[in-house]
Amino acid sequence: MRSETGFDPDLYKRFPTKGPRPEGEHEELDRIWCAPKGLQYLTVVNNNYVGLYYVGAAFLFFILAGILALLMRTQLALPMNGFLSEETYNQIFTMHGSVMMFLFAVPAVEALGILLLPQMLAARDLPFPRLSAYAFWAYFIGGLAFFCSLFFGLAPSGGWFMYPPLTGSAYSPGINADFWLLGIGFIEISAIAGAIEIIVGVLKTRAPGMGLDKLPIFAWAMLVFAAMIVIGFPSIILCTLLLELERAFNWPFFDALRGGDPLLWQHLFWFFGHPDVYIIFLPAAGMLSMIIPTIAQRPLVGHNLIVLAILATGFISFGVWVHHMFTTGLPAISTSFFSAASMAVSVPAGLQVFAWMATLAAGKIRWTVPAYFAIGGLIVFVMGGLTGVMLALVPFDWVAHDTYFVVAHFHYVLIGGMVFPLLAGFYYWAPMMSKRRLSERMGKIAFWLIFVGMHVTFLVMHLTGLMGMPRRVYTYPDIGWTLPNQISTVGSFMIAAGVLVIVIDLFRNFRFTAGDGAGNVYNGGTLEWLPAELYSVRSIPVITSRYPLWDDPNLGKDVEEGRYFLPNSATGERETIVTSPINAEPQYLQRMPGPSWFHFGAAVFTAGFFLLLTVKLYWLAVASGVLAIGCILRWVWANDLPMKQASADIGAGIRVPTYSHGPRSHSWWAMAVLLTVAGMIFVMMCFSYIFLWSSHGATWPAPPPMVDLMACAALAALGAACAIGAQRIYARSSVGALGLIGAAVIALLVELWISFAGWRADLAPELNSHDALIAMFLSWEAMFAAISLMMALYLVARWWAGLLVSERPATMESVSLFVAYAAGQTLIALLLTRAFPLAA
Amino acid sequence: MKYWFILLAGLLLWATHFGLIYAIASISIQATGENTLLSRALIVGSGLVFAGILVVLWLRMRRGGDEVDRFSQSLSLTGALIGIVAILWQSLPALVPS
Repeated sequence: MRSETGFDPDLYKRFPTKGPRPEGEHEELDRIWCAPKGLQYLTVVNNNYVGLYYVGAAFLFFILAGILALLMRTQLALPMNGFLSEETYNQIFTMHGSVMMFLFAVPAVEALGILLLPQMLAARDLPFPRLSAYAFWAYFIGGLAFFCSLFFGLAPSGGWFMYPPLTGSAYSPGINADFWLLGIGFIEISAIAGAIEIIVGVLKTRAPGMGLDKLPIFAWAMLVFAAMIVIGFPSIILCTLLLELERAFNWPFFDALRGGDPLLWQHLFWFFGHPDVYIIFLPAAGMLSMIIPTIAQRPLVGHNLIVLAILATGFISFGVWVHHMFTTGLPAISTSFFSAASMAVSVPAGLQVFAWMATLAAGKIRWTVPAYFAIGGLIVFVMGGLTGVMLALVPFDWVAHDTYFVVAHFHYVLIGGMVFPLLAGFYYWAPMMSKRRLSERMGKIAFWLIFVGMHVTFLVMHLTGLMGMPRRVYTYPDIGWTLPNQISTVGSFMIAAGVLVIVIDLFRNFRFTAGDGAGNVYNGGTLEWLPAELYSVRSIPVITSRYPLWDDPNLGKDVEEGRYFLPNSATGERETIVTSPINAEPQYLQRMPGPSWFHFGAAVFTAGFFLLLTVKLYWLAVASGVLAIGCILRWVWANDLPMKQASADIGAGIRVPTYSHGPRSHSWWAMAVLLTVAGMIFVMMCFSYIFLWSSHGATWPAPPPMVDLMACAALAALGAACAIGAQRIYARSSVGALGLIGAAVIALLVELWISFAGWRADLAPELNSHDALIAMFLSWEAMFAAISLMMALYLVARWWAGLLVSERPATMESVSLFVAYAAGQTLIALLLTRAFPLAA
Repeated sequence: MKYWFILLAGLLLWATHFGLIYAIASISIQATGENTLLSRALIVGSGLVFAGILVVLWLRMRRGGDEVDRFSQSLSLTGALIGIVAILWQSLPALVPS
């Protein structure tokens, strides 16, 4: 295999090194990566703490949403029951679904990624620890406030998919729906921040030698998971934004009377909503692919096929969203395509199931608690998958749509495909971070309660659905549905009892530690079982196989004695090795940030911004937003500062630079991923425009004169050219580059002004969907122009402080990438909204 | 990027083809109110073209080269095969009379 970066693979032969290590290395690492005290627990950024907070918070929301499920089941235990009122029931089922999906399922798997990936990849930490901490605090504070809306009767009541027109201001007055629309906002930001961290982390901070062929399946799953968030979440960001604009400013995107279309919401929502199921499932499947080889004590059968299955699921899952819309009257040919894709997506899932079964069959199963939950989950998931194939068939879906059959199906899929693997993961990885392992006896009791309770609740629910009981009804008459409902209620309390046993087990036995965990009690073969401290492993090993601990019995001892990469702190600061994305060849040493109040403040004020906006305290919301931006600017100010040394010895005499920029650097990758998110939101905006044009285009007004278009396009092109030029000339003249960025921003602002002036005379966004879309495009462009301006001012401030020097181009590169993107986006928007209607 | 394009060729072409046939069907229905014979022919034809491209890629990838190691080559080849089957499967609805 050819070297990817010019690094000589023969250098790996220098490891493990011989001879004693100098005194004091251990102590220095302990000092640099010290544990927090007192209030520092709020500002801590280490993945051990942030990951654990994240998992704990997600589990808390799981329990809270589970309690809501018990309330619902109690209400449904008897016909015409008055335990909950209609409105309360509606709020509770909406919050149950929303909290489970947005506050438990996605954050839980993201949390496990943040907690486990550095250990699995043998990195000191993921590349943006403050971003992880920011994502956690924004999610936790905002999530709690969102949940508490229930106690004030302010919770949303339109179902977790919030279909308009039910959720429009006509049928959902008050701020309940706004709590959902804006409340989901910070969760989306949090998920995307986590996704950026995970993508860059998996691709750039692996142990040397851990090429893609040796990458643990969990890391593959997290990589695809994060990529799916980047592609899928923008769609929900856009649709929540559009509905909130419709509610707040009466812009009719979904109002059929004024040229909008409620089906647009369904397309946008399910383009996110169905892949979201796989976003949840893939990391859980990745966990199973890590746990099952340990259970069977043999390597995973069909490793490469499982990687391919994960990738295929990532792709195909974006071609199935319309199967939630089979009953909306879409053309038969369209539904047929999505029906075919919905059946096809079961193939990669089935492939993984067969590989797990083959691994278990080929090995010798050790019946521990993780084995119970893993195999139990497999059974439940397969049952859910089979009813999924049934629902992929259009005629069957017409019969079962919106009945309890569907409820039974997705609970089988989500509980089997996510909750059981997650609980298997809890028991499997607890010894890694707890002084005591969790109880085998209590774990098995919990398993049987949950496993049996699961079937008692949901197996009979298929029949309830086939008997005709619709979803989302707060009560029902006594027409034969009572007995199955009572059975389901009994089962739900069995599940709750099982979860309670786990909670008790956690209280009794889980004792967090970073250094003296119970250890590798299940004899796992992957890197997370190496002895570790708060700085992760003492030295970062060279990886030569997929199960390094099984293949090299001395690895743990050599790692602990510092015989591999980075056995000390090469620069006297927090740091990790950045490697190349394919072969994981060492490229440079990344300085890592420590604890700080700024990311914490940014998270608090971000959550505050959305929550204050929801309760219509606009000026306070603006103040909170400004404070959030201030905290973020102060936070990033500390990046890209001069290093004490230009290169460092990372072990065995191998030296790497301490700074990098361009596509080699982690910051460039992060900006590229962020712009992909922005690009996807923009793509979905274009889709919305074409979707509404296809049914109402004939009545849309003509765009402003062509001369306007030419001027605007020229300015946008000029902006892009200046931004790209700034990057090119920065090495020669940082002031010149700064001038070009300024010119690019001015071009964007002038373009925006001309564009706005061109439309302004006739633009009435509240009158029809066309004008609402144009106003949306202009607002979006204005936001990017404003951010570009802020970035340019930030560059001026850095230049003033003497930090904008030609040897360190990373900050300038990030800004110029952003501004060039903003200009390119403006150009496309111009062509779509002005040239396309004339050409079509 | 070349590495990733080769690795994901089968899946990328499946996704492109899926978007294309959805667009062809939508444009046809938008323009004429029905899924015409021409649009069906285009859907099936594009399926054959895309599958054909993958067959050519598969044959070229089999010869190997410096760019891909054994792992990525096995992923690319199997992905291309899956892509061929998936593209043909996805085109089948156009053969069913409406």
